[in-house]
Amino acid sequence: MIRVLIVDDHEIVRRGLKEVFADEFSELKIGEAKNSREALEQMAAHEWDIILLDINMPGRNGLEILSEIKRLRSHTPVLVVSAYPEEEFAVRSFKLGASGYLNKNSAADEVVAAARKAMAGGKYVTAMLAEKLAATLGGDIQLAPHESLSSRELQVLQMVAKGRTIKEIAAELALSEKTVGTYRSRLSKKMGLATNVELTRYALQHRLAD
Amino acid sequence: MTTAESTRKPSAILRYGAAVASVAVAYALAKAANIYLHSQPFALLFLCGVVFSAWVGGFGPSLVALTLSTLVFDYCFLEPLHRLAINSNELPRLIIFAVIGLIVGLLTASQRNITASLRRANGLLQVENAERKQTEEALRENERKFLKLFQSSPIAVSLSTIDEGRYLDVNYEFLRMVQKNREEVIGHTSVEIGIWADLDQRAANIAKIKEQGFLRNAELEIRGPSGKITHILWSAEALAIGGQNCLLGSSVDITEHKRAEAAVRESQQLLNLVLATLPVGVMVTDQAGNVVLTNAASKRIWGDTIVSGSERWAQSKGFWHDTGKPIAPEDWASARALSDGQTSLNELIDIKDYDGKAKTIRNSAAPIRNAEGKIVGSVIINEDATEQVSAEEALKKAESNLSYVLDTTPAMIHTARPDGYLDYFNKRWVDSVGLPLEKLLGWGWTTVVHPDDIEGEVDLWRACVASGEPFEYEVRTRRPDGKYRWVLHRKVAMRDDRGKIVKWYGSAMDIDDRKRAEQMLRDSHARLRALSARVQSVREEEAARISREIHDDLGQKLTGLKMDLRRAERKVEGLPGSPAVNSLLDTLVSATELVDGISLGVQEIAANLRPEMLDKLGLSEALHYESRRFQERTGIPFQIQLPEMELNLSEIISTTLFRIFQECLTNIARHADATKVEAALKLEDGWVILTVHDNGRGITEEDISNPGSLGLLGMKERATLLGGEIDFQRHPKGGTTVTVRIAKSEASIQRKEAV
Repeated sequence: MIRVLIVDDHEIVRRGLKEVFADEFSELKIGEAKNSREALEQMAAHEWDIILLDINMPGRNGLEILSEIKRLRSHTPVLVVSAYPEEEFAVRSFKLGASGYLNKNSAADEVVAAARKAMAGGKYVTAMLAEKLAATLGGDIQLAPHESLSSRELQVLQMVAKGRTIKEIAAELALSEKTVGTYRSRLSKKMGLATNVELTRYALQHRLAD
Repeated sequence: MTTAESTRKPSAILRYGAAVASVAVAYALAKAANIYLHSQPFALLFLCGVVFSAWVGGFGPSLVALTLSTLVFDYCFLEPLHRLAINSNELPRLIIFAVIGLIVGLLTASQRNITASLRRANGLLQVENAERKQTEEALRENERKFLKLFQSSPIAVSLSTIDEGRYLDVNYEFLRMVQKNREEVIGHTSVEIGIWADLDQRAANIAKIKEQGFLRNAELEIRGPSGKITHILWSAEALAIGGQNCLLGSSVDITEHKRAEAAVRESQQLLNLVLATLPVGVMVTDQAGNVVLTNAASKRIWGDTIVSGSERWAQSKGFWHDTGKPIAPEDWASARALSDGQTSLNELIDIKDYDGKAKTIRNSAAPIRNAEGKIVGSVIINEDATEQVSAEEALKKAESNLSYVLDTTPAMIHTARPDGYLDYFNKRWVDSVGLPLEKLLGWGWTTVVHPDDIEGEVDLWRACVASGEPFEYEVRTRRPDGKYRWVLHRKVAMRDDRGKIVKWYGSAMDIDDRKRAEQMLRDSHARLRALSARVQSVREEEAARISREIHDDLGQKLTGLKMDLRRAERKVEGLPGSPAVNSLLDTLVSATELVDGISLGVQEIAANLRPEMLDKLGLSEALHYESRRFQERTGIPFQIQLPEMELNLSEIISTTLFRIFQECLTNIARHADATKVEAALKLEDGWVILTVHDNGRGITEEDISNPGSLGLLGMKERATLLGGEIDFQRHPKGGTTVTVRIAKSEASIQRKEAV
């Protein structure tokens, strides 16, 4: 049983996130808040294992609520889920005590992996931010970007690592080349690895290639 | 001795006193020494005391003193007799000492008296001598008196032999005159000494004296040792002294007198010379009007013919210059000077001279009075003013012509003296303010200047008068209808050949229409600017609203849509593979990609409209975001330096700087062809400074000044609205730097706006 508090002023986003979590966890308690006041009420009323927090909300913005949450419950991990680009907001969020920063565009893919990592006491950092954060926050950042890959994406990674072309992969998986191409570009983006050589090296290092 | 005593009574008292005192002191000391020191020298002291007493006092006083002191001291004061008895063995010696003392004292005293008597006898002899001397002295005194008279006479007197001219005696004045001492003169002849400047003259004079026995007041020259000639007036008398024919000569030095005469002659010559060279005619008449003195200029004016006496006035042809009426004989200035004592100055008259030539002269005359104040003549001064007067009249005519031109010109013209006094206004000027000319002259013109403008204009005018700089000032002046209009006052100094200011020429120009147009233009500018500011702020608000709506509504819905698609995708991935499932998966992936694309597009549109970051996180983050987007879009490396601390700028400053920054980036992307961009935001002394530099081809002057450069215009306007500045700079090596400076505090913005 995990308890998730979703703080977002958009119902459609809350619903999406709720369903993503419902797909992954059979025992789940979801709390919802659509502004800072409700969030703080929920915080006071219940214990939460993880909090998903939007930045852009009417009234007090998410970053202010983040500070308040960390003051009230310093041990409860908070994932910031925002429509804002992470380049400008991620570092700030981490400085205020967030355990991860997700763009809403990639939230569906990454939020569960990020939540698991955060609940385990770690910090979830996308490949894109890793370098910047390493410089800013220093030290202990463990990256395991493949954790957020879907099964098909992982399959494509393994096949790329074996030296298959997109055409070969598409034929083997009976998918269109376009779909495989999309998978391939998602891989690069999620893992911050652009070339096939880099992807192959990563797969070998993490023993994903067999 | 008795006579001496009787004649010196006060001295007797002194002598008694001194004798008593000296014996008493000696005795007292002797006794004291004897009693208290048991010493013998007392006797010696006593002896000394008695000797002194006898010497000063004589026998009587010293004996009295001795007796008194012994008795009085011994019996009455110091001690009884029996104490004396202890030393009774001393008594005989004491007595002996006293006696010796008395004798010695008396001997010395009598010696002194004998000396004194001898002196007195001597004195009587001297008196007799003195009396005889007095008689002699009186005789000598008389002699001296005559001698003195002779010696101190201011007339040089000499006694000499008539034939040889050998000097027997001369007085001091004589010696002074010939500049010799007595020894050089007495016993020598005048020829030896070389007194005479002209020996023939002397011989002639001597002959004359021998003949008539005397000579009176002959003017001679004598020569001093240095060769200096002295003029003398010489008189001589022949007389016989001791059978010898002698000559008593007396001479008076008349050199100074001669010199004074010469000086008078010289000054007379000088006067003549002055008169001859004077450009004015001078004539002096006697009381009857006869011309006694005239100079060359006078002759030039009147001609050579001089008519004498009162005839002159009747014959002189003169007319008063101003009226042209003939001058009556009694009206001539010199006639009036002689008759009434009038002094007339510079009367301008036209004359016909005695040669018939017409002239214009300035005529002055004054009476000459003698010591009693009686008029004895007149002096007349004439100045030929023919050319001057005609030139002046020509000038006057020209001026009147000019004045006519100036009065008819449509311009407002005035002139001023070098001291700043305005001395002329043309008709147009006068009419423009509707005041009479007299009220404008000098400093009167200031009364038509608007009270708020007077001080500034007067100050500047004074400064220009002092410095000679051209004067230019815009003021409001009051029209006849009481309304003020703007005029431009100008004055320029006219200088003579030496650079001295002789006149100021000025004009006034009505610039009211221009001023009004300027003001209207300014107002219109201000209105346009306000409108532009309003438009911009409305646009900003609108953009922010649309951006927010797109972001919040469309963006969030797309996010929800994407989540759904990804969930569907994962679920399909989990299904057993089949062509239908794979086809579905292809469709889903494609749809997700599409939504991703739409989502990015929507974010881009929202950010372009107004990045939410500007409102949420401030200028620094917004600039950072914008520069990153620029780099992603164009691939041009972009470095931006942002302040460590948040600047907490007001929304309008943030927006303004952000929009200028955006415009810069747009320009760089469009025109610069740059390979590197650097930007910096910093706070310096209360000013927020944003610089954007690129290494592209560089902005040109035409770009900057081209009114069609709407982008640049917009940037300038935005900066100006906040009282800020914007500067476009092209680098010599290419590249452009845009610098914006805006005061951070609202207070300074408002101040600027007020300006």
